[in-house]
Amino acid sequence: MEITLSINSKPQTVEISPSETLLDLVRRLGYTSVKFGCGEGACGACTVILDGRPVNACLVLAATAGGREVVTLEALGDTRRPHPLQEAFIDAGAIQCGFCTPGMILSAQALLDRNPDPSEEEIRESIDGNLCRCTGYVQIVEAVRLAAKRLRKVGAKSPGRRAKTGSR
Amino acid sequence: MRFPNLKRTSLPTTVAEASAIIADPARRAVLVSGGISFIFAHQPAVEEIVLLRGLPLSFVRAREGGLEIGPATLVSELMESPLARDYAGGILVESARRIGSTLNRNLITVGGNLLQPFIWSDLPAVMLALSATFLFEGKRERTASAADLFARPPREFLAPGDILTAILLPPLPASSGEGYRTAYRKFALTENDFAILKLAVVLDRKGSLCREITVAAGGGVVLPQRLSRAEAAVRGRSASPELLARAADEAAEEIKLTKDIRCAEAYKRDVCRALVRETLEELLMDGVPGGPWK
Repeated sequence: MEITLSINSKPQTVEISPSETLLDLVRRLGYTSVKFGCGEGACGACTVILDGRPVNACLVLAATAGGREVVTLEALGDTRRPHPLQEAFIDAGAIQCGFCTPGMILSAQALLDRNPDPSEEEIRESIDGNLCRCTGYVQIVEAVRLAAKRLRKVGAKSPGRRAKTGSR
Repeated sequence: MRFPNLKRTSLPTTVAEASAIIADPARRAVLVSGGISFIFAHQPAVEEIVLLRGLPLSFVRAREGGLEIGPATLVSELMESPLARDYAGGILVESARRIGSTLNRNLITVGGNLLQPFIWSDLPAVMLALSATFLFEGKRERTASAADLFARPPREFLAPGDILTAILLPPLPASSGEGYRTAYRKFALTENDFAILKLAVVLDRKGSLCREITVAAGGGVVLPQRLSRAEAAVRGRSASPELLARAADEAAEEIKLTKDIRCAEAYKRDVCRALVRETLEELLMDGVPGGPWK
């Protein structure tokens, strides 16, 4: 079957199989920041933002994404033009192996879109579905807090990103 | 490809159309609104998914003094609803907040959490405690009380073509401003672990007198259960530490439990005893809210 969806603000019409997950689809289309981890919605490595809400792409059938807006980490920034969240993760030492990082950053991005000045508890709740098995969470929470502070200072939600993360 | 038997997807625009598809046994179809996972793990023969996105089944609205919730409403949408927040002391939002992780709550629907219950599901016990009614449409319209729906696995209750179209919550008692109290308590070994036990309590009190009470437990067995002996121990009586301890003992004795690899049955009964006693102390004797269980 054929669906049309928007990935990182780019409308795309793609042929999918009924059993294909959104995780399979975005990786097939080259958005490899989205990782396969557990495949059952427990680890958050496959996080994408779907219509403004972070979700486990492994639990979403691609067929249900038709007509919707998907955002992956590729929309935020890259090595030449990193997003403030990406910079903050580096500055706070919040990355070790990096496998969970794309999901962590997207969950944090969705939080900051709604709440530019989150408390530590709100930050922790926003990443409660993203498991990190090597860095630990202290630096990650610190990175989100640092990014929030920097973003508030420049008075922009997400100056580094090239795509909106969708509406709610 | 993880679901090799899946061959078709349909996107009906009316409940009647969706009902006709799932009523046809040859199509081996199931409804999908939020995320997927256990649907497929438990029904490997599924060949068609019926997407509910085209149906207006996502809403939280006031209805005859109570509340009406669409089954396709996301758990996160329920949490954000001012109506849900204001209803019954916020027990809907409190219980919704304890479901899975943020990522899961953005995919799990209210209807999915209710009709595909697992031992870790949160909303069934709450709906049982709130005496919710379920509205089904399809070949014919019918309603079911939470007690009837959860008397056995919901899939056994459903007739071919039945589609849940609303969850109806009753008006609160006239005294809801004063003595109406609710609580949802969940005891888990870690924040994200499946709970050892969950408790939903709805009661109406005047001073220390418990006029009416409903106690529903989750996590003992797959389906939620009323703890009727515990209710009877306090209903119509003035609360005292001794009375609440007796009610807690009744709860610990009557609760039905299934095997849990994480703990012994005796431990779970102790958790039940402590959870019931502390929750009743909080609601009837203005004890420390939540205590160590919140």
